[in-house]
Amino acid sequence: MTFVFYLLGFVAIVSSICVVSFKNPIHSALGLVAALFSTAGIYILLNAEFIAVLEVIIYAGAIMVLFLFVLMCLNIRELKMMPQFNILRPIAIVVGAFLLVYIVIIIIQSNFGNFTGVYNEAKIIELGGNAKALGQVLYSRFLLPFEIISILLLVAMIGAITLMKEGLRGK
Amino acid sequence: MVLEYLPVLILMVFALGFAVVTIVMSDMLRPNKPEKVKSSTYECGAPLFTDARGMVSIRFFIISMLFLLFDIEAAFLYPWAINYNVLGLFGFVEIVIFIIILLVGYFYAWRKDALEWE
Repeated sequence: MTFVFYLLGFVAIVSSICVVSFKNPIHSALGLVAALFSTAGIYILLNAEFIAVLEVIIYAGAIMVLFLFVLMCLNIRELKMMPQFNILRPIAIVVGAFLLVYIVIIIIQSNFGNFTGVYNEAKIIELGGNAKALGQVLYSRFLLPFEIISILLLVAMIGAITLMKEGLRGK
Repeated sequence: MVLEYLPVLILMVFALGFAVVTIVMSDMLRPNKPEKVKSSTYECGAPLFTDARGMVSIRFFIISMLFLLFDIEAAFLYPWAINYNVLGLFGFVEIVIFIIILLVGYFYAWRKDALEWE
């Protein structure tokens, strides 16, 4: 079990490094697929099967297709180091450092993986699995955030359509 | 627990093995006489007229964007569907509101001809 975790973690890290270092954007996209699949494997090890399936269906399926269409719309052959990347670099380092600190704080707060909250492993098995437990919390306690998600999706939809209409009018 | 996923692993090994064996075996068995015309790119015998990496229409992007958004909507229906007996009418009303809000987006896309190809 631990071996499987380290194997998946290794694949995830290596393919993530591939994503940012490959010159050909299509190769980067394939690296991202590998990273997402190994992350899905880690979710399965954590008994979060529903999240693992969503990772494959939504991220590796829909979002990857979207990325590929963007690459094809832009007609990029090889990515060159653009000057604005260097301006953004200090900001990226600061944001990355903050996220790292936040992750470390979460790991320490969670008592290094030994969760003591209500929804521990025994409770989830009692409720009948990860998807069932998630549904019961999401549709009762987190009712308002759930409805706000639909508004967020609506805004994304209208934004995308408006941008496309503007782009087609310019032609 | 991980052993439950052994069939998935076996399937992946077989799928990968099939692909690798097919490529390696055909490479070993076939006669290798490369020629300029033979190794050129072709599509059903017709000569090429453009590069494969041309610009594609923005319409592909909007279709995949709409697919992504409705895919996420569908993903939220799974945890509700398996909890239907527990959540009852309350959950049903909740999910109907969720779908109606997204239906507004669907009709917006429809009225704005985002689904038309022209």
